[in-house]
Amino acid sequence: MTAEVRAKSKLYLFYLDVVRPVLKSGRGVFGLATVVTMVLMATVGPSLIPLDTEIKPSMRWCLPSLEHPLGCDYMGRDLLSMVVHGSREVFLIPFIATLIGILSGMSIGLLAGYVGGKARRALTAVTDIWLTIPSFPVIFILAYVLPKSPLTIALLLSLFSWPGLARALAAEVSSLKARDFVEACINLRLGKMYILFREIGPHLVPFVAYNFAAVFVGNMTSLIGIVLLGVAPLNPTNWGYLLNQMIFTYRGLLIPNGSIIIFVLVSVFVVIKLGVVFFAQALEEVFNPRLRVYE
Amino acid sequence: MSPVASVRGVSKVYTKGVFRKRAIKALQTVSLDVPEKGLISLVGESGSGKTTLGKILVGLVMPSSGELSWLGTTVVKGGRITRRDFYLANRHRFVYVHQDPYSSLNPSKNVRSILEPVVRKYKKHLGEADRLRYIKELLEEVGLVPAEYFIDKYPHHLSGGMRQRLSLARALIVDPHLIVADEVVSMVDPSIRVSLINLLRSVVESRGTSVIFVSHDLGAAVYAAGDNPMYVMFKGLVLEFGPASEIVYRPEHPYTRALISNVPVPLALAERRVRGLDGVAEPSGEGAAAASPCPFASMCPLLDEECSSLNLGEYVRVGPNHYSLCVKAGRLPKWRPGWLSTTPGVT
Amino acid sequence: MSSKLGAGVGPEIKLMLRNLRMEYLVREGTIKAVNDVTLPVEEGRITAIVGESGSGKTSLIETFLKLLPKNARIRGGEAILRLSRGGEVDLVRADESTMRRLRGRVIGYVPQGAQNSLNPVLTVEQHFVETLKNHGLWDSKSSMEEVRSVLSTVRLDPDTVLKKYPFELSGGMKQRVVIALTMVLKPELVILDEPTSALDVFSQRVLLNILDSISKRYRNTMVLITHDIPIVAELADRVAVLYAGTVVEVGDTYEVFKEPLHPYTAMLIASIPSVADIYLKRVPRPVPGEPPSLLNPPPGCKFHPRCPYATEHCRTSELPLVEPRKGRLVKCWIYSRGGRE
Repeated sequence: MTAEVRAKSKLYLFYLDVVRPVLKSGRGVFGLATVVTMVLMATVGPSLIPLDTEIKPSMRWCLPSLEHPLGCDYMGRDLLSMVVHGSREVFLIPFIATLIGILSGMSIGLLAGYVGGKARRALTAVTDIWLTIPSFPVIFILAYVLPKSPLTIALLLSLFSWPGLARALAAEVSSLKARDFVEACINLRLGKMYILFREIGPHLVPFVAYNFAAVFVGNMTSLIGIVLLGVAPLNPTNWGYLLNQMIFTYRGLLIPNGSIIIFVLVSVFVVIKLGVVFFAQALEEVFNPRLRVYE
Repeated sequence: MSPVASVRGVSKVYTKGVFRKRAIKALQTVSLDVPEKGLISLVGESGSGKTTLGKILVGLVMPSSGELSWLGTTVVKGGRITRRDFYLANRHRFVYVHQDPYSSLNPSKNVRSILEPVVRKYKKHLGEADRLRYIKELLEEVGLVPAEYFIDKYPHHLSGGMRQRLSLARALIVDPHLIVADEVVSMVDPSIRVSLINLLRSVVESRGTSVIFVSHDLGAAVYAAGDNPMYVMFKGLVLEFGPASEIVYRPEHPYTRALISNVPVPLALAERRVRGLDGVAEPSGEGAAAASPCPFASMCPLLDEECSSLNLGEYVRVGPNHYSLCVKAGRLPKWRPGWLSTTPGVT
Repeated sequence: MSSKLGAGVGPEIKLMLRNLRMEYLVREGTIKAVNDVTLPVEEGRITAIVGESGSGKTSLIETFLKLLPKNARIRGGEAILRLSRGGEVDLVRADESTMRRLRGRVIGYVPQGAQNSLNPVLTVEQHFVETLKNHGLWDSKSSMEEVRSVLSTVRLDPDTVLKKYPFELSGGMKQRVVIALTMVLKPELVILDEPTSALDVFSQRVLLNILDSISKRYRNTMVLITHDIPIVAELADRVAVLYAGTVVEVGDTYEVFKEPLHPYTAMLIASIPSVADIYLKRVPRPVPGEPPSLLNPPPGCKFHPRCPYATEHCRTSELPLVEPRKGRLVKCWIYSRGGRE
């Protein structure tokens, strides 16, 4: 083999290892764009796009146009501004809920998976029971009953975010532990913590990332759902609240333009969900070099 | 020179099923010494117990019975660890290298990050710059040159042979007393197997590490051992052992003879004539075969009543350092390998 | 000294591969897995295709059997199969329906690890019935006799084996069942990919005998893909050596082993350790270096980086396949004008 010594700066390696795999597929680009948009929307969005509070009856249910890219709501207010301002709550609460859920799920799952034996069997039994509880109705009822603050909602959502991951992660860790290269590290006595986090860990990241995305998306849907059904009125720019008003109070579905605007709002939500999932899929290639091309 | 590792009468039984009904005897009874600074070969088919024996010698598998000693100290006896402190202190210097170069390395780590944690643990006195230098020298030692080229490569960039060299490099960091190389060349291209075996031999020479070369490939095992001991295993027993070169010339067990005769040889025959199965009898049924504890009895062309008197563990000395488990050892009929008479240019 | 290859397909050639090229499209470029393969396969003989990893041997078979994955592209060449009933077909240009008619009844294929492809819920007998029925060859009166006959050719006792399920058979026995299933259709051309790889020495020896019996009994043409040099020496009549996607040497096995013409062939044979070494006072010598990447193969002769006889010419020019003596084909500049002995 010809001797080729290539000096690679860390930045170039980062580009090759992380950025390029994500950008190589259509899904990756779409996913990345979505996530970037979401972050921008929630952080600088509200400062850039002022909330339209002006009631303009003549502009009620106006269709999407250059001036109002998402159209107008039942009061003639620009829908885009409402979406942007509501995004903070719609993203943040599920994010925190997912974070709590994933972190607790991870700790339990990792430990149970690595230790194995009775611990793992106990965990599986508990999570199996938990998973059979229908989450949405329970969240719905508890949200109605409990004090209506963003934090309680987040905690409530996190209750159902951890079991799925814990169980699956325990199984994944268990199977990874049996792989030859892990066995080799165990034989070299490299230490439980090292093996768990530095050898097994990287293989779990796509797994956890995907799970995070799925749970996040699920929590977003639950949140919008309970707000839509009028159980937990939070911020009036919350998309669920917008939908609630549009559908129930202002009978938007009976008005032709109304249906379109409702559809537009729901589509925004669906596109975001898709983008998040695609992004997680693209991340899998970053963490698993073998999925990458023959170099 | 005391052996670096030795076993006396070890056996291994695996039980299956909830009520422990089905028992698989991976190893019946084996006694073996691994010489210091030596390379020995363990040859046998799958199911012969060679992998189990290799794993027992490095402490990865607990024998069901028998004794294991390291550096002269008994560490395992009667299925339990006897000198726990000694065992824990030395365990990491008895290393097992896998056969599969595709699964024994973490695919998401590059060469440097595969080796570095091990260097960090076992060469604590080295600072960062020295660590890097150590890693480069190690890569050179195992033939992965130029080191700078390989240092940031991932396993999937490397060929099977290169991966095995890397696995070996990782094993060498701990300055091992003993390396069990289990089928390390089986999944590697034939044309470079010999270079890997040569690497193992040079490691024995330069570092004084002992190596056990485990393989089902008789040619490779004989080449690896040379004049050093080779152990021929079958169904959980060592049937013959002695200097490899001697065993090939004068095998004193019917199984070894059958093995040598039936292994395909890369010589052109005068006409294309495929040899029949030589030295292996058709399984005849019960009777004499069932009466003998010899594992080869049902296939042995020399089976008779004498074979029922075999005592497992009692070897017949047929030469200096050369022993056979056959009751007829030393009295076997004259023999030549089946391919010898047809090979041109060989006396 | 060198002569051009006969333009037509001679009477003893069953399958003629000529200038076959195939590549896989991957993101980093193209993998030139089959890079100008020319190989005449003689009728009624056992031809072995020898190659190590990265030689492209499985890709070659998949190319002319048209079993390629979606990202493969055949870039040129022909694979002319002479049919025993008369006529020829170019497998490269054949469409899928033609291939389907050929597969099984005309071309038999035993892929690697075939013993795992037996259906676990069918008995051996049911396998045979299904296979014969699928090819329209099932005759309730005479077929069972044929099946029994094939089973005994592979040294399996029909009465013992027919009623068994695959899990009741050992690996070696399953292998033989698969071979019998292939042979019961009496194909003219049989391709076997690494048939002996997972077998112990005794089973391997029996299988070699079986393959020899099959060749003699059915008088078909067999192509054996393997990386196991000793097997080739014992079983094959003709051998073709594959390196980096191209055939570098073809010839009668005995002659090739006695006097290999291509440096790779010589070094490959010399690198295999064998129990016979002690008797021959032979020391095996490994081939230096690594096989080349098929993504970015070296220019000129693909072997030149590892070849002790390489010259500047070898580095730059693409080589022709020449016939320095009857029946021997080599791709090496030593044997053509411009090369050096």
